[in-house]
Amino acid sequence: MIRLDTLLCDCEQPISASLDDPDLEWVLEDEQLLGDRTPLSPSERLAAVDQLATFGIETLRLSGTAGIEADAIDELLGRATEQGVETTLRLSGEQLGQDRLQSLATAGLDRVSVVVEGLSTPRQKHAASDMTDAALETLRAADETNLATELRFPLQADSETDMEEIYDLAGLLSADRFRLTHMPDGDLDDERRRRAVRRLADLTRDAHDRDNHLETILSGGIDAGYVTEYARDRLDDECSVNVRESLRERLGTAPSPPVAKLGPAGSVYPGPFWDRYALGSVRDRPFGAIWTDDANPLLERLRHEEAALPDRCRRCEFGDVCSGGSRGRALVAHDDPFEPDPVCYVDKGSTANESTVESPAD
Amino acid sequence: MFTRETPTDPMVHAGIVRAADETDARERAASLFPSVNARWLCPADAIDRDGSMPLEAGEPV
Repeated sequence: MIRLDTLLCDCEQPISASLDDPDLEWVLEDEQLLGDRTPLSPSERLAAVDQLATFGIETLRLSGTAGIEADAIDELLGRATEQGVETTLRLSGEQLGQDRLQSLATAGLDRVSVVVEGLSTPRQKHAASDMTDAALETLRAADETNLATELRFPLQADSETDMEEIYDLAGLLSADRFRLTHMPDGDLDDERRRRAVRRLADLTRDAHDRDNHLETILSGGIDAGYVTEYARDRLDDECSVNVRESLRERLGTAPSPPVAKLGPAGSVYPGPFWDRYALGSVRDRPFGAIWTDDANPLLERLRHEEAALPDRCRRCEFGDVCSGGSRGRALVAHDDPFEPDPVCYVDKGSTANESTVESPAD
Repeated sequence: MFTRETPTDPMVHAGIVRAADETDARERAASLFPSVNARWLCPADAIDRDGSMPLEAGEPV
């Protein structure tokens, strides 16, 4: 995750977040992820929160909550708050009104996150349009509470041209954060991805100049190479050097894997795209024991970036700031987690020659 | 799924693969753990978890 606004706009002294522990995505309901075991009961969920807090998880993102009773969610949020864990509720099309948002805030929720996949156009189906309306209405209602808000924008070929308008909407609706995530999409080539991130970086700097401090996040771990290139081409020399140094420092402190996922039945996955493989279940062993298990050769390989990097990444000139993106996306695309991330969009010419640039893979 | 790194190691639980059938499960396990000495697979619901500690919430710390 890169916080683009502080990186590019305060680049005389960019802030590097300390990232020793992974963020945790918790999918509370998903038939695909359930497997052969029954979902965690409300009491088991509270015990799982305790396990996560004991390990040191500081940020919990809850999703798949549409079918869960409101009281059970409130109880879970309350437990997380008691344990000092920051919580985000990630909605995927459901609309929440001001009363429900207020009760979530009272229960301890810190942030509500909505997804906008695109704007209503003739190309889109009504369902997508309804989802967008629900997301924007939820943002409006949340503005009347003390919840922090986030608008997630998954970058896809169909919606790439809507990004600027959606970014503006986020500002108009007083969202605190705009988060861009790259989605695998064969119709979205590297140049279009670079153009979108370049435009978002320009918008972020313009907004900052106008005193509009909307946080801009690039998530998914694949943008550090291009952001380095952008800073080199668009910022002065000192800022450019500082940005690269900050990204390098960030890579050095980033947890590996960076995000853990917990499924509805308590299965622990090594990341958001790892639906076909779980490390174990919090019903059988505490989360911390599963996540730090030295005996699992796959986890061990994922943890040591040098061994996990695909050959192309070892030759990349941005190897000092990028750990190769998502191994989970690579697994889905290639049936092998140690192949290149399919959404990598750096100029592949930069990876073709044996570079002498400093790299953790050297 | 259980794996061992050398013929003299005990089989150790190495995680759970989700697959449509046995063949798919074997292929997925092999792609994730290509270098181990042995892989054993069994259906998750065939495991008898007798003696496991139930996951229960206590007082928050």
